[in-house]
Amino acid sequence: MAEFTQQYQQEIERLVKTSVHDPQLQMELIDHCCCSIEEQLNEGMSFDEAFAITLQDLAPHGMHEIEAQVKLILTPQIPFTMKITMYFFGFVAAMFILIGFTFKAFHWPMASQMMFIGFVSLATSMLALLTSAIRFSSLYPNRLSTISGGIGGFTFSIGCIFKLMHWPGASMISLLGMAVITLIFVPLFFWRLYQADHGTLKRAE
Amino acid sequence: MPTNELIKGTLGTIILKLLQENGKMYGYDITRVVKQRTDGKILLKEGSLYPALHKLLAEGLVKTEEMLIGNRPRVYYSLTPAGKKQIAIRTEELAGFMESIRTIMGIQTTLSHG
Repeated sequence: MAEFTQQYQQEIERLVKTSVHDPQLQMELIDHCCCSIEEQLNEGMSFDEAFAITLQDLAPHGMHEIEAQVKLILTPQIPFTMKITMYFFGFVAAMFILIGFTFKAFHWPMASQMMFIGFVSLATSMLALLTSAIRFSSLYPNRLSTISGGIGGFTFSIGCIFKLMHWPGASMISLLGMAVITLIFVPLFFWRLYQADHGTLKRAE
Repeated sequence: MPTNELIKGTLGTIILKLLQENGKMYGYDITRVVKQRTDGKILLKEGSLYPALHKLLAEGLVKTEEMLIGNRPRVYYSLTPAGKKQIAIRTEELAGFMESIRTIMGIQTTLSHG
């Protein structure tokens, strides 16, 4: 029968602390994992088997899911109208911008009008996303990334609208939006993806 | 075996009832008791337990106490006076709901056989 050592506990602590930020929840999950693994070690399992079963039982989608569930259950939901604004205008934006670009490439008429509608919709959707991320901050674990994406997307859309209307300052506004997206949003977004996979990668080593 | 979605709605009441019977319990303890009592038919998986416990805590129905067990801290949950009052209300509500479901399913079963 394998013994539950301090090293095993440290490994569990490392995994939990990487994925969960709330101190009380960290404490509870570490204790839960330790209890479960201890019980299975007593039944003759190896640490690796017990560890895998415990994770599968407790958090098959990762420990961060538990914290996200806790936050979700404790915080108010994003109002329906705000969600609809984000998704509806996001959908309209994607459709009109894509079709507008196609029309522009083929030199067909109405391309600019379609792209105008697309960018106005994108700006509206980004504004709703920004409002939601600021007002319901606890619902966005990677808030900085969402806010920078929202600001970048909104500024870029406004720049494109100015460009389509041949208004002054268009290039500067769209470049500013693109700079926020490229220099802040994209690195934060990929850093978040890397962090989410970090626990899994460490385990696979 | 009931799905996680079916359990989620009743988990708060189950936890309150178990705390009433056992005084104070910690997360893994609750999982183990539920598993034992249901012969392994109900397993509190996919993080449903801790969100439910934290919701009860936010509602002021349970309170926590940290204790050092060996070299690791453990969070014990126990009922607050408000939680004690809620048990009867929630149990009655759950019993009524179960009865309604039984009635509905009974009607459907009768129809499907008829």
